[in-house]
Amino acid sequence: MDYTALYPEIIVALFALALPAVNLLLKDNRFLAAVSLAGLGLSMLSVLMYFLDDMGPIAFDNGLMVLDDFSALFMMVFLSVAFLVILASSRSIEGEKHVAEYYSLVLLATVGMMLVASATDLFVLYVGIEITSLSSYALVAFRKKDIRGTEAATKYFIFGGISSAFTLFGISLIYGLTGTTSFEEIGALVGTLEEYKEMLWMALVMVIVGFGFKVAMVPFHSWAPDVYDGAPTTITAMLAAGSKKMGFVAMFKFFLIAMLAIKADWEIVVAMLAIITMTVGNLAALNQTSIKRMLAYSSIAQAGYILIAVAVGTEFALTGGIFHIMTHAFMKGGAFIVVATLATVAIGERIADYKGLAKRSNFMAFSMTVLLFSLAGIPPLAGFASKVVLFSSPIMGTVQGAEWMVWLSVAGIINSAISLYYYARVVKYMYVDELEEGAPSEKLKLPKAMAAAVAICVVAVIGIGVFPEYFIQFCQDAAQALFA
Amino acid sequence: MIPLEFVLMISSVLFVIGAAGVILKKNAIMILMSIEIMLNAANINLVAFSSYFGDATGQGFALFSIGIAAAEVTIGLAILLNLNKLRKTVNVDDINLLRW
Amino acid sequence: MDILEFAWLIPVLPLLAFVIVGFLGSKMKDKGGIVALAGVGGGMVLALWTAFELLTTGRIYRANQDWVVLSSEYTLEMGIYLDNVAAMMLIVVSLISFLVVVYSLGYMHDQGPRRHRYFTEICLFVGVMLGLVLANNFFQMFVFWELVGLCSYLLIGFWYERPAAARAAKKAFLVTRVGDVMFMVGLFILFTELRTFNYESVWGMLDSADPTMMAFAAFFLFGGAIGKSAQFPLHDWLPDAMEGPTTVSALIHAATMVNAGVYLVARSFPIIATSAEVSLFVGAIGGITAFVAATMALCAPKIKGVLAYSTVSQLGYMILGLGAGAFLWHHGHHVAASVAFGAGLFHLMNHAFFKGQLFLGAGAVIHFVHTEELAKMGGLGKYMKVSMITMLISCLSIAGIPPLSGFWSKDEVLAMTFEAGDAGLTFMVLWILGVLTAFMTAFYMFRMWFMVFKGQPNEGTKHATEHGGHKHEAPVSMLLPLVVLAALAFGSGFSLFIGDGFFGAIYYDHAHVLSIGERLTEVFTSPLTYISIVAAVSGIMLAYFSFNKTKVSAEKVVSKGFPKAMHQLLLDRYKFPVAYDKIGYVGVYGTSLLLDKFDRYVIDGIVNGISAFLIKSGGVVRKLQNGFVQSYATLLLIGVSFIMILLYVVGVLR
Repeated sequence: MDYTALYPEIIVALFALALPAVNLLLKDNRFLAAVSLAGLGLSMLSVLMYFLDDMGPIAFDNGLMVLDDFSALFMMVFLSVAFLVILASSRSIEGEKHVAEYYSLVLLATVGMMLVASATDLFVLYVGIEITSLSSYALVAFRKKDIRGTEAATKYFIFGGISSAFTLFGISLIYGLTGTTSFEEIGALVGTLEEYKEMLWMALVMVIVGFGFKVAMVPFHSWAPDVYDGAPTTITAMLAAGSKKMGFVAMFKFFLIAMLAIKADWEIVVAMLAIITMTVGNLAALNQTSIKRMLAYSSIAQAGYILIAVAVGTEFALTGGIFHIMTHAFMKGGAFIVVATLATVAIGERIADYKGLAKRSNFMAFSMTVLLFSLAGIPPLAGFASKVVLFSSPIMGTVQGAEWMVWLSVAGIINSAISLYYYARVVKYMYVDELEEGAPSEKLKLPKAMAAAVAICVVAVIGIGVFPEYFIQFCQDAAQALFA
Repeated sequence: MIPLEFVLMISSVLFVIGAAGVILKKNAIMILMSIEIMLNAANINLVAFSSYFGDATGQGFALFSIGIAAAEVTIGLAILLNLNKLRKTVNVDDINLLRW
Repeated sequence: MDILEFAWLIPVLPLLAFVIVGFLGSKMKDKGGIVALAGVGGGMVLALWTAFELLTTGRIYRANQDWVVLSSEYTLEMGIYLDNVAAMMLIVVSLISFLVVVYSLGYMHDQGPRRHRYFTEICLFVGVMLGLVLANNFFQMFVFWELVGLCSYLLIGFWYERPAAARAAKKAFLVTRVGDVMFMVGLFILFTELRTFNYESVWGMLDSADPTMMAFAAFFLFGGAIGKSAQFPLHDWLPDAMEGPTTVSALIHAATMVNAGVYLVARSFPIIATSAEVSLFVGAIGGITAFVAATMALCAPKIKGVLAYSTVSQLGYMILGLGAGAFLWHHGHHVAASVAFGAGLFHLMNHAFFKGQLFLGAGAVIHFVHTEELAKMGGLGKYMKVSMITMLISCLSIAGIPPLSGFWSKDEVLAMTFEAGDAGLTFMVLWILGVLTAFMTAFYMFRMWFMVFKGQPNEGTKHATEHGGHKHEAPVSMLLPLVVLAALAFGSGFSLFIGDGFFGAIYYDHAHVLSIGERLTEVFTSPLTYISIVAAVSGIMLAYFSFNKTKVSAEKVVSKGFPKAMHQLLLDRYKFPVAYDKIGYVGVYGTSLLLDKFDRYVIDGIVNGISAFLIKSGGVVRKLQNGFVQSYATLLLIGVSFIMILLYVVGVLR
């Protein structure tokens, strides 16, 4: 068998399994972090090799997985997220027990995401999602003495279990209807199942539950605020920037390959879910007092935006969706890492704790401002560029009889306008307001590794925003690869 | 041979029982068990279809999913154990620190 | 060397200053004031040079660069488009910004470390405002438009510890966002229909575009201007915005940012002109705003309040001129249309100068007496000679007394509105409103001037001058901008006669350029001119008799020629001020109070209602998240059923 297509996953998986063993030899947190980073770096190199060699799609074995422009791009996204998370974690979990397991679990979660990115079969997709889920349950519960973390893990795990049961049941129905689990074969057969349509819809809905859970789509979102709030913040960053994106990859593959033939059946429903999701997310974010919960709801709203890509379903829309996933990974991941960084220097997680932050650390306040403004879609930042592509897709792709899609753009734009309110509020707190009474006012001493992770995100957000066309090109290649 | 419809009925009933258990039971362990029932309903489906088609994919899938379910139970029980240690309860109505 | 090749540096220099002041300003001794001065000053030199080049050669400069490439056909570009209109805006924005920064060095002197924030935000504001002017497409304009709005929000809330300031900042933010959303919808329609945002491409495609959609686009683009230029019914944020420092009021809320809306209307003028209804709407909004705001200015108790309402009212004039122009253009009167277009923009320039001067003068007054209440001032003329005389020039200018600048543009706007009245009777009504507004403008400006500088010294003045207060005027850095702006307020009207007609430069169409003689004849042989002069003069007289009778003796007035006749006429009603109190207060003040109530309860109610509704529903959504995992699971099951039903319904309906 030719394992070329699997090299990136294999490398990360090997490092993940080796870490606990390394821990027996050398119990040093920073060394373990360095080893994990090395593993991720190696894996990134192997993905880069794919890009540089221009090898074209490499299928694994009998077509369970494929390494093409689409999967390679997402592997890069997931690997970068894991890289940033570990870089940031190397300081935030210093002094905790079981750090080797922590890094190992982050790497395993990443392996799961990468499997999803390269899956061409429901089977691999399910296994990939489960690997990520199981690792992240454990990671959310990582701080064993922390009541909130444990509660978050309980909720996450119960909700995740239900969703995974739904997905599996849905997959079993699809298997029963088509006799196959491969996306392409399902896609070829699904249009011919006129008489089993209701059954197919049932299966479709059940599969959506699992993916909807991962991406925090309303009404399957309710775990997200609690879990994002209770989990260690670096893990929250991973959930928002990595695991959530994995859900979208799964959705793209499922809807736009397997279910494309019956798109007319589900596009309106997905469009409605998109609008509901962005609206609920933004409205709930308006009144939050905890910065993590606010970001969690904002993350739900962003899921609504990305769902536009699924509902429109053209290559152009998919380009926008992929692009927004990419930018969102950096801006939301970066925002959570800022929160994590500030938590290590005793700045709380209430939004009010950020009052007067600019006076204590100009760098942190500036970074947070850039990341939040990018989330709000203010030019010339990355979030703006990706929103432009995403929101213009319903207009560009309008086919006969689907003019209603324009409402997706309208809803997206109105929602962005609303969202600016709560993002700007944080910025105002940081820059305009005075420090709270009795709060310390000396300059902050930030952990270098975490500051570096933040800086990478900020540079990425500005860089993508200023030179979006290169990145759009990558996303377009990826979208073409998915549709090929 | 058992007709396919019968098997599907069993699996559907099991799935609904599981779903009902998830939202009605207050004990987190019971919820965990209900989730297992739901997963197994799906496994029954997979195996039934597999034998109906004479195709091994479904059975392979089912084996994997049983493995995954086992891992899930392990992690779930570990989390609940820790929860019980911290809060002295596994009643889901008592855990709502995180809300709004 | 072609200076136009360096036009991109115009916004970059202030933005560079923004970055430097932002990062290093707190360590500088003057908190970045000098850097800000240098950056804005550099931008000004370049901008003036560029404007000179453009105006003298009549060139149009274009440059662009692809920015976000959506596909080979659809591309968002960043670019520069400079024509005479942009040149005029460059002069206005850069000059006033520079003067305001000079002034701020003195005015903000006592603000301590907070100056750092002030100078940072001012630099950012100037940079993005200049960027807005340079834009070559509607989208780029929108980008800078939003940034300008952000700066305004930050600067209104500068004294954030005052609840009123925080509230005003929030209000400005929310209200202008209504306009911004309209602007976005307009952009949206434009792009859907024409697939481009570029000014010239859009203008070129109008003939072949769907007229209904273009009318909608024009309507929504104008909606953006309603928000930013504080037009009725979204005018309410501007008077509240006076909670910011006075320099900010001068710079943003009188002389530059609010002009962005007018500039947008100018740029979308050809789109608006495709539809008679939208043109009429634009004109009507302008006329109504001018009138309504003027009535509110009549009873404003604070010096900045008068100026704020006055700003809204004058912006109404500009919009009225542009609306009349679009209407005339639609009806084929191209020559008159270009005069009206030019008149609106000419008023923009003149207004920027005299209103900037008035605000800075008001700043000097407030700096001196430490109060904004007009009733607490009085008799300040003795102490503040320079402020008094420069503000007098501006007041005369805004009132429309020839040959000061306000006269030329206001007269032209009114004349063109009258002309548009031929094609649509509504403009006749608007013209009457305009003349009434001119009368009221003269009245309230001089009411302010008399109350501040003449009459008995009241408590504020006494407090400032008696108890060891400073008896001298503001520092030179504050007085110099006052004088320069007063000179401009006096003379900018004469630019009408420079060379080929600077005024001709901002015509939409260059067909109609009059020589000095022709123009003068045209202006001074028209009865309309005298109507507006009479309106202005009688407004001033009314103010004089109402608010200054105690100080200036009757003989003194009577001894002069024209006032003598006027005085004689009013002599029988020596108790006019009392009558004014009785009738005027009840009538005029009653109406304005009523309008104020309407404004406060109905219009604000709607605006605040929307935001309150959003926040409330946010609260409801938030409470749904009750923390119990089983209710989440229930929600999940309900969601599954809901989606299933949806699929069925959609499937059946299809």
